[in-house]
Parts: sequence; C-alpha cells; structure tokens
Amino acid sequence: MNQKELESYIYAYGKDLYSFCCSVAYDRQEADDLYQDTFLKLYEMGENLEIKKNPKSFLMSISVNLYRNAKRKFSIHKRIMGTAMSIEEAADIPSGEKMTEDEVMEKEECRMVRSAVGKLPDKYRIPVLLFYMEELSISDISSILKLPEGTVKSRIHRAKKILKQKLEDQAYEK
Amino acid sequence: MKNNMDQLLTKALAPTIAPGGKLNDQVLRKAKEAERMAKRKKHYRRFPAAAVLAACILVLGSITAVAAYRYLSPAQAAEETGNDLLKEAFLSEDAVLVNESQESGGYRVTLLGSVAGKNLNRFLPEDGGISEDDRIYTVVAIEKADGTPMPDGSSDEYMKEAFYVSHYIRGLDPVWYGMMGLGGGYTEFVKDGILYRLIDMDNIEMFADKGIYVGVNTGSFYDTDAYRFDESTGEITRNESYQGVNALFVLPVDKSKADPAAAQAFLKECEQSFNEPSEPIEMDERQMEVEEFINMLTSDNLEEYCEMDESTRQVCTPDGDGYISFGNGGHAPVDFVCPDRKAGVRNIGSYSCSDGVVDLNIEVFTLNEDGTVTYAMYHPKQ
Repeated sequence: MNQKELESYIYAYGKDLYSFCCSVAYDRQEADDLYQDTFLKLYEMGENLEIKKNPKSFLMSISVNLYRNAKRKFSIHKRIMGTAMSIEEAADIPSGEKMTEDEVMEKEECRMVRSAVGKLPDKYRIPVLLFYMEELSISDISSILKLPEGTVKSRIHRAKKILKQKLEDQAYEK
Repeated sequence: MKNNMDQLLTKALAPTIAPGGKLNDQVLRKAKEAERMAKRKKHYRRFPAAAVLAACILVLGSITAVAAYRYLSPAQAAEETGNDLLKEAFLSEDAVLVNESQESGGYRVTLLGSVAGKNLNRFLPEDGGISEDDRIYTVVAIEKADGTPMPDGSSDEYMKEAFYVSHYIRGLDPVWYGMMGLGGGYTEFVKDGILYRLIDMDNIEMFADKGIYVGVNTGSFYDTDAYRFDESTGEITRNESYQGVNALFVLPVDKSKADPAAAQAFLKECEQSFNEPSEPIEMDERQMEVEEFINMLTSDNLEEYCEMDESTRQVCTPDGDGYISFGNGGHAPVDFVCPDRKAGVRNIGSYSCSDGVVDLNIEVFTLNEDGTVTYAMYHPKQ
C-alpha cells in the first residue's frame, strides 16, 4: 500500500472508523490511538488484496481486534457514563443553534439511544455498532467477530430488546 | 418512544464524528516514517475524487501585503513544472495575477495567480491518469516568515511540514467543495528557499459571482479548526486563534464568467458523486491473476502449487498479549494470523509481488499444537 492509497482509505472511511472508535473507546485519547493504530496496521499489511475486496469490513476487523487487545491490556479502564457523554459532545450540535421542539426531541432521543448503546456489554455493543453505525452485513460481522451468523443475529436482536426496555424505562421516568 | 428500533438505531448511530485534520496528518506522517519514502524534489499528487474531508477558509488574512518581486511569476512556476501549455495560459489575458501575501503560523503565504481553461494539464499523475479537460490552476508561494529557507528535496526536513492548499466557493461547505471533493491535485518544488505549489481542480469559475477563495492551512487535509464556515451567510473566515498556517485569499476572478445554470448542473453532479459508494480500487490484469491464484490456494493444496522458502521459516512464540513477531519486523496477534485456531492448518497471510504471480511472496502461518506459530514465506512453483 502506498501513501496515496492510505489517504484514499482515510478519506473514504475515516469518519466511519472514527465514529466507531469514539463509541468503543474509554476517552478521546484512546479513540485517537485506536483510529491511528487501525490505519497504521492497514498500511503495514501492504499489498494484501483482501483489503481491496472489502476495505471497510477489513478496516473494521483490524479495529475490533486492536480494541479487544487494548482492552485486555488496559482492563483497568472501566466504561463510565462520562464516556458516552463525551462522545455525544463530540458528535452533537453546536451550542446556540436554534432548533424546533421536534428537533430538540429528536436530538434528545438520539442522545438517549447512543448513551444506552454505550452502556451495553461489548458482546452486544460491538455487533450493534457494526450493523447500525457501519452498516456492515451480518456475514461481514460474523467474519469480523469470528462468530456464526446466527449468533450475530441473536446478539443484535437481544441488544435491541435490552435497549428498547431501557429507553422505555427512561421515558417512563421522565 | 418510537417502536421501530431499527430506524432509531440507524439514525442515532449514524457516523457523525469526523477525525481532526491533525489526527489524519499524524497517521500519514507515521506511515511515511515507517516507509521511509524516497523524497522527491518535485512530485505530483492527486487527491482521490471519491472522498472528501473538508476545508474552509476565510476572508482577508491577518497580514496582507503586496508580494515582493523576488517570487517566480505563475508562468515561471508552470515552466518549472514542465508544463508549457500552462505557462502560456498564465501569460495570457485570461490569467489573474494577484501577488498578495499573508502571514500565519510562522509562514508567509503569497497568492501569485490563477488561470482556468481546457486541456492545459500536460503532466500526468504518477500512476498515469487521464488529463482532465477543464481545470482551474493556482500558484502559491510558501516561505518561512523568519527568512530561513524552506527545505528542499535533498533535505530530511522536506515535507515534514505539510500544507493543504485548495480553492473554495463562497456558500458551499469547504469540507465537501475543495480539492478533496473536486478532483484536485498539485505539483510543488522549492526554489531559492521558497516552496511553490501549483494546484489544480475542476474549474469552478461558473461560481465567480458567489466568490472563490484560495486557502492554505497546515496539514495534508482541510482543517476545520483553521477556518470557520458560516452556513447562513456562506462566508468562510480564518480562525484567528488557530496556531498553524491558515491563509485565506479571495481570488479576484472575472464575475462575467459566472454561469448559474452551469453552476447548478455542477452542484447536481457533485452531489451525485458524493453519494456514490466509494469506487473500488481497480486492479490490473496482473493483480487479478494474483488474486485468482491466492483465492485458489487452500491449506491442503498449498504444497501442490507453492514451495516454501526454507530460509524464511521461523517458529514464533506468542508474547503475553498473544502477539507473535515474524519475518522482517512483522507483528500480529495469533488470533489474527490463525483465525480458526486449528493446529496444523496453514493460513495465508499477506502477500506481495511486483510483477504478478511470477514473483509472488506469500506469508503462511501455521498454528502448532504447543501454541507456537510457524511462519514461512512461500513462492509459486515455476
């Protein structure tokens, strides 16, 4: 792989990858490290034509592996509520922007969903992120996570049930 | 709460967080360091049309002055790059000569001039590309404000400090409508301690009535920290508190060149191309052959078609984190190189070649019963 190809991958998939990194990492610094390490690993893998067949899936598989390894190394890092908040702050609306009531409701709903997803255990969170955020196929996710397709489907299904319950509880509390 | 969790999750989790330009620069810089790329005095670089980061600019820089006579003219700069057609274009009445300087981030940036036209590109990308027919070309000079010379191709410092130079259109988000999104490329060289950058991209003179900017920021990408884009007014402005280079010029193009109908069509075309899925990188015939060959290989038939280079054989013991080191500096988790975790199965890792199957090098990893991994390079049998 040359610099030009690396740049093209950054342009094409940088935002997708970075959103994923921010959603799994403990804080922004870890997200930056994961993002950087993922692309450097991709670069290091050079001429592997598997990269060119399905680059996004390949990239995500590198990132998931790096994340899992890093997590093993730094198991002391526990995800806390603040994580989801910082990610939302990074993603969200500039302050002072005027929004209609519906828009405010919608933003709040999205924030609640992201926060709830952020609190899921990894075994549910990662399939959900790969499926809904990265729009990868079940088959690709199965290959990335080295799990049977049926297991991936059931984890996503289970995650949705958990999320629905959490969101309904929150709505009720409000 | 909506019942449709699928819709809700898709909307809430849509990727919205873009990495900063500095982070991307860091990735590229580290990749560059790793590769120890040969430095070139002059080079042409083409931005991929597929994707887009962004760029933004602002009006009038912090310090503006009339450029000194010591700079090359745009025509001389074009001549330096070997493009005589462009040189002639810069000498024609259609050329816009500016000679305006701004200082920021310790550098002085001078906008020298611009010209647009059809079939002026006579230097092709390194990978051999098609010369676009209708382009806008602009030359800027970049130098250190303290007068020390810019490093040239013979210096280790060359290209350590990256600059992103682009045109922008007033009213359009620079993240999308800049060099990255509009098929941009550049050539650069250093002469007498001054870096000259000649950029080109799709001709945007049809937006002359709106206003065209030229921005130069630190880094290899548009940096959203360097500029501010006001969506309500369409103005792009410099972020005065930005620490790096963030020059921004208004290009004084002839407003009579505006063509709203063409501009509308151009925008429509851009939107379509932005929404297209990323183009797969095209493979040439040899690459196709290699891919077919690799796809045909299995753990069972590997010995039939390939032979092991005994001198490369290594038995690698995983470290505490499950990584093995192999070959010349390779480092990977065992789970990655032997995903099935089955002892005795040969797993094909990365492969490389310069002339196709004939000189193909294939990395093969085999998990052993004792948890070690045997690494070896295989070559196709002649």
